[in-house]
Amino acid sequence: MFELKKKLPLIILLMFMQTLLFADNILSVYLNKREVELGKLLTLTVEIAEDSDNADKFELPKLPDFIVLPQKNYNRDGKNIYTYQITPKNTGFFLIPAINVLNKGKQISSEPINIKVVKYLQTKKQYSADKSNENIFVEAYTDINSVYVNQQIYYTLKFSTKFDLASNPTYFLPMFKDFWKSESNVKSGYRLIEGENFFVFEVITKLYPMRDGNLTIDPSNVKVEYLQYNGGENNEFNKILNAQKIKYSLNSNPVTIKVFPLPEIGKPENFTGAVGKYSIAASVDKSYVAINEPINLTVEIEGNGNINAISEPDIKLPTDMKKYATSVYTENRGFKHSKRFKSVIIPLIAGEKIIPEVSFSYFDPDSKEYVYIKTQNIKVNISSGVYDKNTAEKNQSNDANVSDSSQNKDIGQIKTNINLSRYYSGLYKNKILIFSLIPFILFLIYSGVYRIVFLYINRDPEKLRRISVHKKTLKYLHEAHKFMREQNQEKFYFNVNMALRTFLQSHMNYDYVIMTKDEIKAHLLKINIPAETIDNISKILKDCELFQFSSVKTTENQIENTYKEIKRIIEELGKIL
Amino acid sequence: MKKVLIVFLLLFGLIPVYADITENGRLSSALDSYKSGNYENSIKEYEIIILNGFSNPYVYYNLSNAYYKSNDIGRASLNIEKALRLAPRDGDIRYNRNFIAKLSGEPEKNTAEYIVNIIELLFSLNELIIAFFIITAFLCVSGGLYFLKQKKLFLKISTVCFLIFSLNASLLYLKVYNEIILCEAVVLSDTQVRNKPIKSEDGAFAVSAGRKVIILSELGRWVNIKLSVDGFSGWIDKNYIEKI
Repeated sequence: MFELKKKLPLIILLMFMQTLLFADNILSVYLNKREVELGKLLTLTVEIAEDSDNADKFELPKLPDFIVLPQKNYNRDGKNIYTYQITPKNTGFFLIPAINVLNKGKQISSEPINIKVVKYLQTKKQYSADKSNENIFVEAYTDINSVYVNQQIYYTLKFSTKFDLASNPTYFLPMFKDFWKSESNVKSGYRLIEGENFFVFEVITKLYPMRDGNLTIDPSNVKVEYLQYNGGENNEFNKILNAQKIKYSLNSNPVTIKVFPLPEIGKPENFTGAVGKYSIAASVDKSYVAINEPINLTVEIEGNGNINAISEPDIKLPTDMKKYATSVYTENRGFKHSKRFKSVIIPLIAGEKIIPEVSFSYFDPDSKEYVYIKTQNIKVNISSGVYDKNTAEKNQSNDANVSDSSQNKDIGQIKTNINLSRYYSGLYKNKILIFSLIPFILFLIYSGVYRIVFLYINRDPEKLRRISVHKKTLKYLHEAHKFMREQNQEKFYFNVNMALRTFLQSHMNYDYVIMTKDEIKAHLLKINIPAETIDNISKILKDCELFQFSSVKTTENQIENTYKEIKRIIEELGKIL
Repeated sequence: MKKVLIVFLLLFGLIPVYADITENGRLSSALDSYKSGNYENSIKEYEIIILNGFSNPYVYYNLSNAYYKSNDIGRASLNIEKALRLAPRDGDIRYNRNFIAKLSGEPEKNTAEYIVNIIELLFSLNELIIAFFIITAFLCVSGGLYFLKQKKLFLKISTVCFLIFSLNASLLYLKVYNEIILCEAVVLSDTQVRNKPIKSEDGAFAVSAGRKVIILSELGRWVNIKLSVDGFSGWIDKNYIEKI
């Protein structure tokens, strides 16, 4: 059971891979060679899933450049396989067009295939393979082995195996030093090799040699994990469970290409290094504009060479037209690429103006000659005065990209009256400004806390009353201390008297302020205050009556002692009450 | 001793005045150079004025014009963006910004981006920050007074302040996000944007001078950028862009 759990992810992976392969295997078109001598035979294989709509009545599209000899048709692994022997009629580059089949009403197309037909193959095509194991091997080759500098070649890394793979192969392409490298395409599927079914994984990379000479492409590497079955042959499930994963690393051999320099004879002045086959076109978005109104000029170069290496062609505009920034857009359309140079042109003078032809030169490796191509002149009518939108709309049918041109006449005039003053562009970094907010925030916090405390206390009116009276006690004591320093006997004793009475009042719900000292004494006795404390309170109250209202003078020392005594009594009462 | 102090104060008091005179002279020189078609000198003078801290939106505006006349759309765009940040409601600055954006091939904004842009251009960051501080101070005082005095008038003032504060805080967040957190830059010259930060990597797409981009991350001399309107992203050499 444990073994089954261990191998379950492996089983799921295998099932998933198989589903993927089936999904991607409706139509496959193969050609056994990409470069061939005139008169030699090529084998074209078309594999169509048998459940496709036209799997049984497939017809090869017409190939006018080839003689086509239909071969055997057969069914294998749920596919109808059609094979044809084809032979080219002439030398040159030919294209086997995309082959279309219908699958559940949906059209599926193969990729077109490029073929080079030469009179005689100069040297044997580079073909290197690690075939140490005939069940699993890797090959690396190029479609052409003798090219010109910057000519496009296809480098293919092909991995083939009869084994079941545990995961997709991992490939490592070389650095391709001395080559410009374009994007790589990956293809995979099953193919018949010498009558046996192989899983084939191909990585095709477009390369452009940067210099002449014998250039070597270093070996590529492929790492795979395949399954080796140990018994359980009679039961498919047991077979998978007992399978062992084997890691395998394969290196292809290096591939050498002979690169010829581009001929110096006949090289045009405007040649910038483009090699291949190209075409050029130029267009403007509108041909009726007002002065200072922008015109979008698009120059498009399309071809099958290194499109990235093509720089903007020189546009020689008349002096009464000004050219601004050019935007460059590159597009990949399978075997052809295009590069668009979109420039903004501002006409400065009215009249009928000509945007002159734009020229471009490239080297054609088939004819071994430089080719000079150019666009047509473009006529534009520039009207003076204000832009007339109605007239322009009438004259422009392909004007989809034009925005509100009335806003785009020319850049605004500069400001001549500038009041130059320091401008603080980063006020958020100003610490003084940040700190200036702190008092306001503190005030809000304080008032908020005050409010909360106030609400809390307000729940108990008695407590609020006590706090209020206690505050009065503290105030009287403070005043007494002040008058003690000033030796103001009358006011000192008044404040001491009031402090004592308000303190008692704050702790008990009686109005001690209006009571006589005997009433206070009698009342304190009732609430179990110690006799000694009561005596001390009585003494202080007596002293207060005596020194507050009589002309008898007391000493400085006596006043201080009274102050200390009242503070001690209040502390003591605070603990008792 | 008193004399020394007076001389000292006079000297230091005069330095800013002298500086102002010098910069005004430089400004006049920049304007004259521009009018006579000597855009290179005009650019130099404006750049020095900005370096000395005397920057204001119209200095950036004029500098942008000078760069435009010298056919440097990248720096024209950079400076008009700086001017727009300082004075977003100025009609002339807005006009030039739109003009240069069109030249640099910036696509039209969609409706949502257009609305955000309108809101964003209502106030400058500085205006919003000052408003934020004033409104916050008012809110604190009125709220505090309400807590203390419990008067309805303060409650009403606090409510109004809070509403304005919320609106201001939202606008400020939008502004801070777009101008500080997003870290915007401008492409200085036409170049290729690559899928990986490697020179040998093929260009994924081309970007023209003056396009506004958002800096996502940096890796050595490479910067991962995203086009601010159509959202394409990739790696670009640091030398080809400058932060706004």
